[in-house]
Amino acid sequence: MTDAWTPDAVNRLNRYLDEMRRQLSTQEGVNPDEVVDELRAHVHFELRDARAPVTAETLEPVLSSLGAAAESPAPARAVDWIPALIVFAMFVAGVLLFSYGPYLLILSAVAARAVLAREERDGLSGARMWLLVPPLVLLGAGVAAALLVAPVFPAGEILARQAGGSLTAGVGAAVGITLGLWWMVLAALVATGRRAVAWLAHPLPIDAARVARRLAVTGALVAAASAALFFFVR
Amino acid sequence: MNALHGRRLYGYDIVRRLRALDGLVIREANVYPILSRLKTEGLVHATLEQSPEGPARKYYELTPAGRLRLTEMNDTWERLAHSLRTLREGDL
Repeated sequence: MTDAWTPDAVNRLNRYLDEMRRQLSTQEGVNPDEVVDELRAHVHFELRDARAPVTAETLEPVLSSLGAAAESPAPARAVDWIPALIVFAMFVAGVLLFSYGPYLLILSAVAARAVLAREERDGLSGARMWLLVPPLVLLGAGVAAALLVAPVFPAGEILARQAGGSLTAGVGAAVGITLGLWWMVLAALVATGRRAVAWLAHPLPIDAARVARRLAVTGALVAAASAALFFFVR
Repeated sequence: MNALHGRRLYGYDIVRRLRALDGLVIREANVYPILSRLKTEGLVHATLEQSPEGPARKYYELTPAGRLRLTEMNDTWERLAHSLRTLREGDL
């Protein structure tokens, strides 16, 4: 048996075995320590004739042949539908109940994220995903819409007051400029916080960089068109 | 379990024998959790023995319950294979 291993090779093997132990700890009827000992012996046996010192490069094909830890078969588990059904019930109640609706919708979205975080580790089936996604989509769409039009009402009100209370074309154009500039600011925020946006949008596959680009272009076009209208009506 | 039929083998040797089988798609790392589960279910028995080539090896063999289960599983496999063969030959 080869005794000399480089530190990289030792670290690589330990990481693989730790990951395997973690995966096996969720499997019924399996003793993770026993399996890890067997795997370690297997690797050493495979590399018994390898030239010393064993490097991470020499080790890698052996680990590939063994397979990723995540590929180990797990016995079928009873699917727990209850958390996803509770989330969906909260969502439906939130839609139907007017007075407490918004609170229930927010609560159902937070609960949906909690269930996702807990169950994704063990594998969440597509069917249960359908119960968890609606509150997340609705809340996400609501927050996105609120952010997009946030400056419209205060800006419109201030500008209308300055124009003597009437909503003129000039006021509309000025609101358009404000909105366009605001979307460009939002685009910059989304572009700098791409990971945060992706985390907030999870499990929806949002491409934050693409959203930022489109927001910036649309904002610039709206601001330019509104500015042209503003100078035209003056 | 068929690999252990009538013989005692250590883990690496089981993997080596399975590796040689044509058409058997199994990741080698899957063999050890399966052995551990079979042991928990009392279908195989493991004993640690010193090896002249290095560290002690764990040898596995079928228990009487394991041999019985293997016979049942092989019978089921034979029936299924026979049914599929019949279906393929158009006799059904």
